Order: sequence, then C-alpha cells, then structure tokens
Amino acid sequence: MHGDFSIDVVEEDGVVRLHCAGELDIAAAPLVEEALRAIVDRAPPALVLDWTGLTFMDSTGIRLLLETLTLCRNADVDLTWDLSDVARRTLDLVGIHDALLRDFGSGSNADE
Amino acid sequence: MGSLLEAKLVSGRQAAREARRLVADLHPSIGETTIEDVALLVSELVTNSYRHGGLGPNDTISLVVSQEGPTVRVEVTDAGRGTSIPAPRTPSADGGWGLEIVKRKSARWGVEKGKGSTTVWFELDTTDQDR
Repeated sequence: MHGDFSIDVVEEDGVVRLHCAGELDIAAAPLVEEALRAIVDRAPPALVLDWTGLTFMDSTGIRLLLETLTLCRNADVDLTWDLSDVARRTLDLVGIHDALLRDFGSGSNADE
Repeated sequence: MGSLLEAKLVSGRQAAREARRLVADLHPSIGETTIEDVALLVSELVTNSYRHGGLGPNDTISLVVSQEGPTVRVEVTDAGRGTSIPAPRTPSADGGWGLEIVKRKSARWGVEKGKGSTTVWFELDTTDQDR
C-alpha cells in the first residue's frame, strides 16, 4: 500500500494478473511502471491488467496503458485489461478505448 | 466570482493527490458530479505544473477555485521556469492526454502568462441536477 494506492501481482498457470487498487496518478505511476517492467522482462504468455479496484484514474493511467501495450507487443505477451467504471470513463473522455480495442484487439470488457 | 478555495501546494508527485483532497472538501458547496470532474481536471493541471513547470522541490503550485452562478472556475498557477503545459502536439504513448482531457471536459479553458508565472485555468458549467 502506498498512500491511497495498492498493487499486487499474482501468477497462475502462466497468466500474470496485475491488480491495481485506489488512486492511479503520477504518485502511483512509478510503482506500476516498475511492476510492469519486471513482469514483461519475464515474458509470460499472458498479462491481465486488473484495474477494477481503481477509484480514480487520470491521464497517467492512459499513458501507462499505452506503455504496457507497447511493452507487451514487443515481448510477445498477450495483454488483456479489465477496468473500473472510473478508469473506463477517463479513457472514454478522450475517445481512446474504442481505438485501443480496434488497434490492439484486446480488453476483457470489450463487449460491455 | 465567489472564492471557494485558495491553497498553496508543495510541488511534487503528491501535489495532485493533495489538490484532489482539497477539491473533495468543497462538497456540498459544489455538487458531487461536478466535484468529480473538477478533481480530474485539477489533477491533470497540477500534474502538468509538476512535470513541465520546471519547479524546484521548495516551489509551490497555487490552486484557486471560485464559483459564480452555475460556473465553477479553477486556476492553477506556478512560478516555475518551464511552460506548465506540454508543447502542443497530438497525444501519444508519451503523454499529452492530460491537456486533451481538460480541453474536452471543460466549458472553457486557457493559459495566462504573467511575469514569472503561468496560470492555466478552466471553467465548468454545473448541471441543473448538481446545483
């Protein structure tokens, strides 16, 4: 737990789940970046960004999501993401979520 | 404009979070739905001041919130040596999304360059149900 943000990495059957909860902003970003790089360095078959516990997300989350997409694509890691309503709203504000799904064909809440 | 909040934030990674706390305390003077929007936009502007304002560890970021009728106005000012806002560009993986959110979510916004300071401001028009 770091202030109002917590991060947890769980691995099961080769699938890594990165749980983030609380407020994702510039104060929390270094923790997420560090965890992401450590995960991608191991090149697991699949990574799930579980951001359903986020109570706040500003554009820092958009930048991190795009960064993760690039890292995973370069390392051949299958990426999916699951977002809380507030996190999804931030992405929708700039109209990026649909574009991400179109370009990367991922996201577990694609059909909502 | 009636002043609701005037605060000085110490520049740093925690500044945006502190700004959001102060904004949250403005309820019920400002309705809950509007507060959420103000908090998001304030978070973006304070983050930009920290990242692009060229501020030192002892520098401060000023946050002013005022209201007149249905309009809430927020001003974020820093006295840094930077620009407080990223150079105009298309948002990309590297960033630029914060200002894009401010542009899209606010009714009006702008930048005012003073002598040795930069103010980025925005206005939101509250909805009938949130007044």
